[in-house]
Amino acid sequence: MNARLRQSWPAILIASLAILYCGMEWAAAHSIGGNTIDSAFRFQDRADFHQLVRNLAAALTSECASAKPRLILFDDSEVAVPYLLSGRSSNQLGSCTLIRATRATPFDAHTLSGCAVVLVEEIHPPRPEQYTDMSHFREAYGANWIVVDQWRSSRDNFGYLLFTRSGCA
Amino acid sequence: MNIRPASQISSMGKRLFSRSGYVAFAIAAACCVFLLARANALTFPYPWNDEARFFLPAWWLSVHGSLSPAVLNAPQGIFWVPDGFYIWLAVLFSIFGRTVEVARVACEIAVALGVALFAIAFRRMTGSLWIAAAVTTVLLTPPTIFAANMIRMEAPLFLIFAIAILFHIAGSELACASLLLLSLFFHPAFIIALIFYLLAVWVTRDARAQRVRGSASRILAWLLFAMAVIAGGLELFRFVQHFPLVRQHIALQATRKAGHSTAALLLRPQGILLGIEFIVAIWIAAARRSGSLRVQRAVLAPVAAAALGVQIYAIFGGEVMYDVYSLAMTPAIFLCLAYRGLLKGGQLTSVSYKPAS
Repeated sequence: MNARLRQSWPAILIASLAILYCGMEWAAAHSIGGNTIDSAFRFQDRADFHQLVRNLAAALTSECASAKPRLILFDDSEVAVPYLLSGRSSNQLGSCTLIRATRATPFDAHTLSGCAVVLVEEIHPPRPEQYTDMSHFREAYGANWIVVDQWRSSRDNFGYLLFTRSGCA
Repeated sequence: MNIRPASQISSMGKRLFSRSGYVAFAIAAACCVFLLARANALTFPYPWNDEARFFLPAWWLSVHGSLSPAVLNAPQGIFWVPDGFYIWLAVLFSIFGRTVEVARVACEIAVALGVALFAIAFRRMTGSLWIAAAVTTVLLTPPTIFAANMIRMEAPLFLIFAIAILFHIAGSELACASLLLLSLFFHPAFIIALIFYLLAVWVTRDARAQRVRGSASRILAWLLFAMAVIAGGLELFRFVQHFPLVRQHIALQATRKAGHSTAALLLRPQGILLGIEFIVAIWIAAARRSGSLRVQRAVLAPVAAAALGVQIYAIFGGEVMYDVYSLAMTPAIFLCLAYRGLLKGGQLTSVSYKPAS
């Protein structure tokens, strides 16, 4: 018995460590960067996100129905663009061109100063509350913007705001 | 109550966990990861900005045949990571359609397949079906699901590392090194792993010279090497052509990463794991052994070195996306290595060697 135990202790030790580590991972890493696995709200959140994409697409289609060419601009924090363009073969939406900036390719002042610009600000988890006071938006783009359309989900964690330049009517 | 004798139960267990049974376990582990990822799609993680950063260049390439995605305000190109991931996704888009869902399912399948291949690699590393199965559970954890659901390079890289380890254990260091080199065409996460691996292979070359290699595996290894060199060469040429922009984009990334405090990065569970893994690696490298055990050490040392390289990058990269490497992949590999280190005898499965005359 002792000889058998002496022979199999590495196996028992490593298997126990592996199982223990797996359990600890499920306990400690079930939430990563504000995203929680098997969240109780996941079905509602998924439905709300799909609703955000549908409503945003409808709002942009309506904005782009006129013949006047416009630029629809999303900044680097936005997440909906892949879903808006999913399955499409162009970033043209009616008379509009949809462009999303990145940290490496931000919009220049000239692009943002035009009247033919619609800026999109999304509200989405894991930190939807950071969009409520709009201070970061004004810090990034200035105060001369007016909200032309907006939507919030029932749990207030998904939504969007569309801005255009004020005084451009 | 009808109780079976212990010996009968033990033989049933052996039959159930035979080699073919283990392959079924590896496939079940892959299915488990895929189904968990599917069940948590769009919520773990939530749609986030990296999806746009990496989906849109692939979408643009698929639509316009260009690596300069104007949709990302980058009509001259975007150079913060290499282009391999975009090209891989664009090929898939041309077959299955240009949708986010195609990209996500591709990443989920890559990670699931990676889990199955790691399970097989663990069996070969430990020589024990039960230990390999226990260690595989370390991969069935949230960081792996997180990586599977992200439209990012971690998914194909996870798969590439699993294949690279399998090649190494099968005796093809060139194929393993070529895959690690090829991974740099997707993301630089394995750059330290490649350097450490090459150093370890060089240091242990005498002991491993006794290993037997087939000619088919040699041809495959040289093909992979040619592919890695061509892909790397083309990417390097493209980066040199756009050098001012490359410098600007890389500097932006470097500045962001440099903002992380080293102490804060090391004082996380990942940092503690790095310390433990470093000790295991030193222990494997320093152990005095002879004969078949010397060959085994020479086989395991480069795996330890590569895994350590991945862990170092993952920790100092300081991003939650790298948790799949630092909290799942490398701890599992080091558990296998620690098990081999604790054994006094035995032989690595599928590592053949010429006994010393």
